[in-house]
Amino acid sequence: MKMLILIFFASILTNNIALTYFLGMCPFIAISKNTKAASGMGMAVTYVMVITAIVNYSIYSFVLVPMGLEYLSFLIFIIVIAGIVQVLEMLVERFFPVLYVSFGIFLPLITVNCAILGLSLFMILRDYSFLEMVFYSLGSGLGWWLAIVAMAGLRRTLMLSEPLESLGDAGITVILAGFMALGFFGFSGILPV
Amino acid sequence: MTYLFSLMVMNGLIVLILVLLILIKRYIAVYDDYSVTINGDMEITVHGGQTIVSSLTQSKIFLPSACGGKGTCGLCQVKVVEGLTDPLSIEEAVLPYKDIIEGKRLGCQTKVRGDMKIEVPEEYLSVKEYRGSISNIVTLTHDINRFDIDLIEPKEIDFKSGQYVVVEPIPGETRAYSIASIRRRREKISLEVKKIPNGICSTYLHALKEKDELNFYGPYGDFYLRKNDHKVVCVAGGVGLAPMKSIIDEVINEHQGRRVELYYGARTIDDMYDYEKYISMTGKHENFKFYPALSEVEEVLHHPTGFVFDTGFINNEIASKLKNGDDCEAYLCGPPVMIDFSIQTLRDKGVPEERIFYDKF
Repeated sequence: MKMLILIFFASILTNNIALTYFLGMCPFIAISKNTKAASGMGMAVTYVMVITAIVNYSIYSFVLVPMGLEYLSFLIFIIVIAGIVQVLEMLVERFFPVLYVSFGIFLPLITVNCAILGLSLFMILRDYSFLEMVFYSLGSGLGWWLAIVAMAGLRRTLMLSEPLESLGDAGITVILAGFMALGFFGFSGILPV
Repeated sequence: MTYLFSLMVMNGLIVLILVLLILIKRYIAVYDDYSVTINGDMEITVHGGQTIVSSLTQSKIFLPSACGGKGTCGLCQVKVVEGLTDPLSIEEAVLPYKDIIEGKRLGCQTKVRGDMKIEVPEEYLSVKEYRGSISNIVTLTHDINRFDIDLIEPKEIDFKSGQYVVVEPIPGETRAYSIASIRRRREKISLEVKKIPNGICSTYLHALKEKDELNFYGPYGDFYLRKNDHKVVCVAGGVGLAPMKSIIDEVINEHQGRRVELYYGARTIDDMYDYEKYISMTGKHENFKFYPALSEVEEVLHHPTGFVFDTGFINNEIASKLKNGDDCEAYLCGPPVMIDFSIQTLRDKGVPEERIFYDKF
């Protein structure tokens, strides 16, 4: 139980997938302009992460490993992620139109979001059990969510200031992300995972 | 063996995902029907979840597009008056901020997710509003009148034989009537209106007098004569004869050598009109055949010229008279029951499905 809680908080804070591994950067920068959209995106990523992790984990341990087809994991994971994003897109469009509008074109982008594929590959590498994997994926999703919402908050403040024009919109965002990563780096001592 | 396994696993997974997607699309992510009002005067019912462009296209309103619905050319923009949703990021990229604030959206991107009111540039609509004045009223049967209407504004109408116009005698109450005049005369149209007991519009129309003005929209409809060499089979029930008039005229006068047969059903001879004209036409045009049938008459009727009015429903008439069904193109207009039975008979006769056109009312 202690291990599960450790993995959960480590994936949010010390091993934050956006700010430690710098994965999922395209939506992290593109959709962090306002807090509402950022929060929606974070929610979508969390949802997709948990579901794809569970499905990928099941396929990996119940189909690929027994058949000795581990080398297919890369391909299979991508196909599963693509399929699940499609499903999510259809359901969100039907039942949460406001969220869908705020996603815009970025929801399909989750399909090629490296954070999600990265998560599936990490969980295999780290040899997690099923429960550990669930906590890990949930924590990673929430961590990404936290990071993008924090970034959106920073960028709202940024609108009031006048950064160098040459840095543009994306440039200053990447610099901000770097500062945030340094901030998250400070967590690294508190958890032994 | 390993290769076989890996192929099986990959393909199985893909099929599984596809089945899942189809099931969700079919049974879970299902939309209701919504109404979309265009420019305040036309209302269409739209199955939700599709774009404005595709829903308007179904109603024969074509918005221009140079990019095929990708949201880059910006030609298909419409103004959303009611039911406005937040702009998508594509729209924010293409449309100026000022337009977005005013409610402009891209028709190819904005989807119908509720009742909407939109405004579309008038020139995009091939459909026009016409104003005409009634020049002549002819009583055809005890409940059917023909209204000849001279066009006032615009002065000419260009329509395809078989199309209909929508009349709006009372605001908000619209009815569709087939154009019962021939296509070559563009400065006037005729409508044949059957009086429906307690019908608001038909009662109103039947109360009109000569010189009264009438507004209508049109032409509409994909029920129109196709240009090819197949024999035209017109099946009309009662006032369903109206669109057949221009179809028959066009076939005889504009399509050289094309044959046309008219199957015309009504309950009694009192419900039938203009048959004298078609009886005399059979003598003049060898490409034209006329087969009337009366459903509520016991004995076969003989016209003074020797022409026979069979008894029975019109589909029986088709079954006994139509030959070489596979070379026919059928146009049906009349009550739904008549159309359903006649389509069945036409299929049995070998008329291809894609060459059966009908207009139910």
